[in-house]
Amino acid sequence: MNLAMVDFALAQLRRRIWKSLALFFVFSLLVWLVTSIFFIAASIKKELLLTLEALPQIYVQKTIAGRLEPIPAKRVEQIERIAGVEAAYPRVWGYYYFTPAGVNFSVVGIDFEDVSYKENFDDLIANLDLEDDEMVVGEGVKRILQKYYYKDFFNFITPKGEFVPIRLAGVFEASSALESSDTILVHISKAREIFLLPSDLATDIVVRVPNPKELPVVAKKIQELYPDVRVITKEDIKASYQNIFDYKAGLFLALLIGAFLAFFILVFEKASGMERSQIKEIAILKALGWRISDILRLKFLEALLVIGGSFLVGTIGAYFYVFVLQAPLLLDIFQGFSVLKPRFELIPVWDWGVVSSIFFIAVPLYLAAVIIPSWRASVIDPEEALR
Amino acid sequence: MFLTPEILILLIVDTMILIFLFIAFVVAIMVVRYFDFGQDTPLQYALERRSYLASVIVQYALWLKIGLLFYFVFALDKLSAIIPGAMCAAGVVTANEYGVPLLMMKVVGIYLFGLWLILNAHDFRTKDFHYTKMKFWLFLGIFLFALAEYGLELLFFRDLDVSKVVSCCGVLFNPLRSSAAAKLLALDPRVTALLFYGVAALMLLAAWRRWIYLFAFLSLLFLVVGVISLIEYFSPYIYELPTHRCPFCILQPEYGYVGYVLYGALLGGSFLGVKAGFEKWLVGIEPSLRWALVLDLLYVVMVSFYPILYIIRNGVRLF
Amino acid sequence: MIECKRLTKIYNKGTPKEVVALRDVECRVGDGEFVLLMGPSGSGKSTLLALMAALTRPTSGKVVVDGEVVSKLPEDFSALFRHQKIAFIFQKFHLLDDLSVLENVALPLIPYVRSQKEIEARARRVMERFLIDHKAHQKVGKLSGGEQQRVAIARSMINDPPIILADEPTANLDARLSEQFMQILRELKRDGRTIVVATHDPRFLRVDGVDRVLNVREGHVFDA
Repeated sequence: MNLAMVDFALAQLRRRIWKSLALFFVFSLLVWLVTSIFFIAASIKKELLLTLEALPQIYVQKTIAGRLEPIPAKRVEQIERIAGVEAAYPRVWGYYYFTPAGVNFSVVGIDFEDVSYKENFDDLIANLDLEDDEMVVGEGVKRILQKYYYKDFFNFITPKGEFVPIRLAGVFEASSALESSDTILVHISKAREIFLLPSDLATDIVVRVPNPKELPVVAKKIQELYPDVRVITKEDIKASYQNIFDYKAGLFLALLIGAFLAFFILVFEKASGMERSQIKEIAILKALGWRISDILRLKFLEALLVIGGSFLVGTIGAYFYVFVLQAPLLLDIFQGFSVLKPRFELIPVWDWGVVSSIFFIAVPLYLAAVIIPSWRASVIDPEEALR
Repeated sequence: MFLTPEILILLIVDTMILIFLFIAFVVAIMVVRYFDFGQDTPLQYALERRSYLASVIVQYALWLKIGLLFYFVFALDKLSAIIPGAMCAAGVVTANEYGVPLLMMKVVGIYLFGLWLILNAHDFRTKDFHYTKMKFWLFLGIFLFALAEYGLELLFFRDLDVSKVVSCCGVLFNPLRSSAAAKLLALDPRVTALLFYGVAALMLLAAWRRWIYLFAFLSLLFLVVGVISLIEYFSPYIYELPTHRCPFCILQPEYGYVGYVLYGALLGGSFLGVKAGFEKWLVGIEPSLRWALVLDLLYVVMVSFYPILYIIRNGVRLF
Repeated sequence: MIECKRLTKIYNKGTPKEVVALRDVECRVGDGEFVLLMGPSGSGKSTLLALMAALTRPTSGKVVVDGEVVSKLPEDFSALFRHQKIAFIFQKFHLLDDLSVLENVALPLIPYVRSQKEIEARARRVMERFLIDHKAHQKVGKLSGGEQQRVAIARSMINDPPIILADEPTANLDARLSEQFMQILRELKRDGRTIVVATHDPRFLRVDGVDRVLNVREGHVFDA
C-alpha cells in the first residue's frame, strides 16, 4: 500500500463524482442521525447521573396494596439507629397539577431552618433567607407562572378547595436542568397544607449512607425492620434510568435497521452495477500487471475513503447538532413533550463507547456491501473485457 | 433477551459476518470436492478465483472479530451498570453458564482466523495452489466453530436476565469464597507472578536459541499465565487495593482504558508467537520473532510498572 | 524465449456461440527476435498475443516463457509475469482518458513501488525517452492519436520489460505516425528486446529488423 494507490483511489472517486457524492451524502446522513440519537441519550444519562450523585443513597417508601402511602415520620429515628446510617430525613413532597397550563409541578417541602437532604437546597436557602410563606421555583415553573400572570405569588388549592397563597421569593440557579426546572421549594409546613398531610406522616424517608459498601446491608436491615416499605437504593435508580435510555436508543436503532438495510442495498447496487467503462478500466489495470489483490485493495480503499469521510462528517456533524444547536426536534422524542422541559441544556459528552458503537454499525455494513462487487471486479478476465 | 444498542449491534455485525462466512463455506465445499490443479476446465478457473473471495471474506471477518472482541467486553461492561450486583464485565460474563465459554471461543476464533489467513497467504505465494485444498478443509472446521460461537452468543444474550442478581468481581475472584473461578485461581499471588516471569524468561531464552516450537508453545502458556497472574498479582496493584482482583475492571474509564492496551499486547504477542511455530511447521521457513517479542516485552514492562510504582510510592508490597 | 505448444483457444466452449480462435498452434519466438504475426482480422492473431501475455488461459496446450509455463499460473502470478516481462501495446491504446499523461504512465508501478517519488521519477524518465514529457500534466483524452500512442508505449515500457507485444499498433495511425512507431520498434529491437507485432499492415514487412513473419489463418499458424 502506498500513497500513489491512495491518490489513484481518490482520482477514481473523483471521476465518478456524482455517484461518490450521493453515497457519501446518504451515508453521512445516516451516521449523523444515529450518532445524534446516541449522543442525546448519553448526554441525558450523564445529566441524570450528575443529578443522582447529589441524592441520598436510600429511599424508603411505604406501600399498601402496591400503592404509595404516607409513611409515619417517627420511623426516621429507628432508621437512624442502624449502623452505617449517617442521617435520615422525612420528606414531604408531591406533584401539584396546575390545571390551566396542564402541567405538573414538583412541590418539595423543606425546613428552612434545618439542614435538608440535599446540598443544593441548603445553599439556596442560606442565600435567600426565606420566610415561611415564601417559595423558590425552577425556571420552567417561573415561565409558566408568568404566562398566567402570577408575578409575585401563587395560590395553591388544597384537596379541600382552600387557597394557600405563597409568595415568590426567587428562582433556582439550575445546576442540572432536568430536576430543577419543574420544582417548587416551599416550607415544610406549607407543603403539608397543600397536600393535606398530617404532621406525623411524611411522603417518604431518605437515608444517607456515606460508605457505598454498607449500602446493601443497610437497605436489607430497613426492609427487615419495616416489611411494609419499599427500599430503593440509588443504584436501582441509576440502573432503571440507564435501562430507559438504552431502551429508547435501542428502539431507534431497531427502527433504523430498515434504513441501514436500504442503504446496504443501495451500496451493493452501486458497487456491483459496474458500467462497461469501469469493467474496461479494471481490465486495463490487470493487463498492466495489477494483481487481484491490488484491485481489491484499490476497491476497498475507495470504499474506506467514502466511509471514513462520511463517518467523520456524520459524527462531527452530530456533535455540533446535539451540543451546539441543542438537537432541535430530536430532543423532544427523548424527554417527552412536557412544556416545562424544553429549556434543558445538553451537556457535551464525548463518549468513546458511542463512537465505537457507531463505528461498528457503519463500517462493517459498508464493507460488507462492497466485498462481493469488489471481488467480482478483481477477477474480471482482462482479455475478455478488452476484446 | 435484553436489547441494549450494544447487544443489537453485536448481533447484527455477527450475523453479517456469519452470512459471509457461509458464502466462503459454500466455496470451501466446492473446492474440497472439485478443485484439481491439473484440470483446465472453466470450473477449475472459477474455483481458483473464488479462493480469493474466501480470503477476502475471512480477512473481513478476522478484522471485525478482533474489534468485536473488545466491543463485546465493552458492551458487557456497560451492561454491568444495569444488572444488579455486577460492577464490571466479570459479573455479566458469569451471569449465565454460556458467558465464559463464549469469551474463550471468541479469543480462540481470532487465533483460528489469523492462522488460516497465514496459511492462505502462503498458499497464494505458491504457483501450484499447494495449500488450497488443505486451507479449505481447515475452513470447513473453522466455519463450524464460528457457527457454534454464534449459537453460544445467541444463548448467552437470550439468557441474560437483567433482574437476576449476579456476583461482582469481588466475589468471583476472591480466594476466600468458594466460587468456581476462585477455586481455580486459589494460588498464592506471588507464585503466579513468579510463573509469569518464569515463562517470560524462558521465552527470551527460546527466542535467543531460536527454539521456535518451544517459543510457540510458551506463547500460548504466556497468554494463560498472563491472564491468571494479571488477576491474582498485578490487578490489585493497578487498582491499588489488595482485595480487588479482576481482569475486567481495568477496561473501565476509571483506569484510563489501560486494559485494552494490556490485552492488545498480550493477545497480539502470544498470537505472533503461535504464528511463528505454525509457519515453521507449515512451510519450513525460519520465521522472525521480532514483533512477537516486542509485544510480549511491551506487556511485561507495562504490567510490571504497576507494582514497581506502587512499591516506590508507598514503600510496602501488597503481597 | 516464447514457446506455444499445441495451443488451442475456443471461446464460449459448449455454447451455440462457440468460436475456435486457435487450434493446435505451435510457435517459437527467440530472445531478441522481431516477429510479425500477419493475417486478416478474426484470424486469431490477437488471441495468440493475449495468450503469450497470459492475459487469458488456453483451452488446452500451453505457453512457456523463459522456461516457465505461464498459461497455467495462478492469476496473481500471471499478473506478476506481465508486470516483469511484458509490454503490451493495444490497438485502441486503452488509456484512462480523464487522467493525465503522467498518471497514465505511472499506472503499472502503483501496486509494486512503495515510494511515490520513485514512481514519478521513473515515469518522467520513460516519458522523456518517448518524447511525451512536455505534455505530462495534460489529460490524455485531449491528445492526438500519435501522442496517445506515445503515452501507451511509455506506459508499457515503464518497467523496462524484455518482451514487447503489440496488437494492430498502426491501425489508428496515419502514414507518418506509423512510420514513427516503426522507428521506435527498431530502436527497441536494437536494445535487444523481443518483439511480436500482430498486424495486417503490409508496411511492417518493409521495416528492417523484422526477423520473421508468421502467417495466421483461421486459427492456424504457418511460417511464411
